[in-house]
Amino acid sequence: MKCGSIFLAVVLLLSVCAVVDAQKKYSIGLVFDVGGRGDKSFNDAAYRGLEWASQRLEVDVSYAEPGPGGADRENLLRRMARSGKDLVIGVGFLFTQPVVAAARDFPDVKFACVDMDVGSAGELPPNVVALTFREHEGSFIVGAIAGMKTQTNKVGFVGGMTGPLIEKFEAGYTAGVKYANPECTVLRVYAGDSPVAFADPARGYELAVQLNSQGCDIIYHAAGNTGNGVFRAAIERGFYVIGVDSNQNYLGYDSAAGKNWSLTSMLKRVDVAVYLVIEDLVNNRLEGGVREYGLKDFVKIGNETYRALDFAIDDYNRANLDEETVKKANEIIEKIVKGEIKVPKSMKEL
Amino acid sequence: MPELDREEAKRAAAPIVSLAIAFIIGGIIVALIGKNPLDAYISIFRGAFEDWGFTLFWATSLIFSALAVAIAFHCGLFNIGANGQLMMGALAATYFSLRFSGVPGAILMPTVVFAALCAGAFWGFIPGVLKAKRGTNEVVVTIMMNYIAISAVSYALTYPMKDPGSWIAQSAPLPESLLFPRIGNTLGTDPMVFVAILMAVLSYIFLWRSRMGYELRAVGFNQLASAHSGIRVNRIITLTMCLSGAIAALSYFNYLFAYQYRAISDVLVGTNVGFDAITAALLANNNPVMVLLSSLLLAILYSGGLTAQFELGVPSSFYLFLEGIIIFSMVVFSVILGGKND
Repeated sequence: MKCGSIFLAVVLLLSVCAVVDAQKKYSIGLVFDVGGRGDKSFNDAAYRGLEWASQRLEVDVSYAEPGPGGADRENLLRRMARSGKDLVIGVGFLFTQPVVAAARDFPDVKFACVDMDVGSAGELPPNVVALTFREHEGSFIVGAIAGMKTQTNKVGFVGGMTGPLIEKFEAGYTAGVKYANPECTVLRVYAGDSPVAFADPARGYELAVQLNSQGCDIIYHAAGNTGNGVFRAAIERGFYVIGVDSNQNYLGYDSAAGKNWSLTSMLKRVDVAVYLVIEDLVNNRLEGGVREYGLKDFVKIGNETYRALDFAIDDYNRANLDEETVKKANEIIEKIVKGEIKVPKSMKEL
Repeated sequence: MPELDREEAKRAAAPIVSLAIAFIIGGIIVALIGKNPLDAYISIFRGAFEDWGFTLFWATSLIFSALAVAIAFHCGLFNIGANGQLMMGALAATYFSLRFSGVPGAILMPTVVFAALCAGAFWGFIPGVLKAKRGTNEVVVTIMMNYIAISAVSYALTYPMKDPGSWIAQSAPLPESLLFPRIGNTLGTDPMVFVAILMAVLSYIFLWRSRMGYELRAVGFNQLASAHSGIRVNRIITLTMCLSGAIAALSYFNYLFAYQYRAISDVLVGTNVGFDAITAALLANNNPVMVLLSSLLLAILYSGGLTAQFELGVPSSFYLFLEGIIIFSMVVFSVILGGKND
C-alpha cells in the first residue's frame, strides 16, 4: 500500500516534469501575502500583473496564498521552486527572509520579492531580485497635488510605523507640497513604532481628527489599514484624503451625502512591477539585485500607460481633481523623469 | 450489551462517514469550479507527502491542542481557548528563554517547559475556576481569554520583549542552547513529534487508568451523580481546565525552538491551531490516541492544500470548507447518536 503510493507519487512527479519540458514555456509562481486575492491592494495588484503577463508574454502562471499567520510562506516558495517554476515571486516585505532562505537552496530558480526589505535581508543571493519602489517620487506627486488644492495652506501626513520605509513617503510628500506651494505647512504624525501601527484604524481616526482640527484640509496617509480610520474621519468631518499604495479612492465615498472625500491615491503599482520582472525574465534580462521602479518605468496595455508609480483618477475623485491640476501633476512627472526635479528620499535630504 | 456495542460501533464509524461526506461534497465543489476532484485530492496528498516535514510539523502543533480540547471534553467542558493558552505558553517560554539565556540548556529547557505549562494552566485556570465557582459558561470565557492573549502577546512582543534591532514586532533570537537543530531545511525533524505522541499515550492512560481521569470522566458524564458519590466536582473542573491549558501551551514549542527560533508577533497572533484542534478532537471522538491520526489527517489536508493551490488553482479556503463539513457532520452524528459528550 505504502510502496504503491510512493510509486504513484514518483510517477506523477515525473509526468508533471515531462509536461513542463514539452511546453518550453516560462513558468511563474506567485505567493500572495496573508489574505490573498480580494484585498483591493497589493495582492490584487500582483494578480493583475500576473494576468497581464499570462496574456501578453504567454507564460504559465500559478499562485497560492499562505495560511493565517503566514508561517508557511517559505514552504510555499520552496514547493513552487521544486515544482519547476522559472521564477517565484513573493508579494510583500514579509517575504524578505523566506525568499532569501529559499533562494539559497534553489540556485537555478529566480526569486523576486515585491517591496523587499533590503536593509534586513543581508547579502542577497545572486538569484534574488528585490522589487522596490521609489515611493518618494509618487509621494512627491500627490504632495504637489495637495499643495495646489489646499485652501488652508496646511496639509497633514499620517504615517504607519516609524522607520526608513515610511520616511520615504514623508520626505517625498513634504517636498512635493513645498514645490507646488512654498507657503504651505505640512503637519506630520506617526501611528506608532511597531507593525501594529499599520493595523490600527482607531488610532488613524484619532490622528486624522487631530490634524484636521489643527487646520489641515488634506491628509495623506501611508499607514496601511490604519489609514482606513483616516478615511472614516474624513467622511465624518469633511476633509480630503490621499490614499496610498493602491487605488483607495472609493474609501472616501460618503454614500449618505453623495460626496467623495478622496482627493487621489498614490499608486505603487505592484502589477507593473510584477509584469516588468516577468518581462525581464522572458527577454533574458533578469539580473539579481535590487530593482527600483520609479516614475520612468511603465507598461503599455492597449491605449493605457501604467506607470510603476502614479496618482489615481477614477469616477470617485474626478470631481475633486480639476484638469488644470492633473495637467500640472503630469508636467511634474515629466520633470522628475527627465531629472529636472530631484526628489528627496529621507527627511535629511529634504 | 449488544445494544451498547452497536452504539459504540456507530460512534466509531461517525468520523469515517463524516470524512467521506466531506470528501464527496468537497469533490463536488471542486468539480463545480471546473477542476478535476481526483486531481485535487491527488495533488493534496502528494503535496503533503513531498513536504512531509512541514506536514508533520503542522500535525505536532495540532496534536497538543487537540489533546487539550479532548481532555476538557471528557469533563463536559468545551475549551475553545486552546489558541490563547498556546499563545501564553509560547510567550512564557520565550520570556524565560531570553531572561535566563546564560543558563545551560539542560537546566534551562525544563525551566522553560515548566514556565509554559504554568502559563497555559493559568490561562485555563481562570475559565475553570469561574465555571466551578460561579457556573460561568466556559465557552464564553475561553473565547474572551483568547482575545486577551492576543493583546498580551502583541503588546509584549511590540514593547518590552521586542528585539530592539528589528522593525518587526518579534523577540530577540532564542538562546542557541535551547534550539532543536533543523536537519537541512526540513521541518518536522524536531523531537516535539515524539513528545506529542508520548503526550497522547499519557493522556490516554490518564483518562482511563488513573483515578483523577475516572473522576474527570464521571463529572463529564453526570455532575450530580458524581457529586453524590463523593467526587469534588468543582475541584475536578478547575483542575481539568488547568491541565487542558497546560497541554495546549506546548503547541507552539516547535515553532519557537525548531522553526522560527524566536517569537514573531504576527505569526503567533495569527495562529489558528487552537481552533483547528477542535476539529481534530471532534474527529477523534476525543480519544487521545485517535487524536494522533485526526491531527495528521488535518495536517495533510492543510499542507497538501498549499500545493493544490498553485498546481490546480484550488482556493485556499478549500481546507476550511472541508473542515467545516467535517465539524458539521460530526455534530449531526452526535445529535443522532444521542450526544453523550455534551
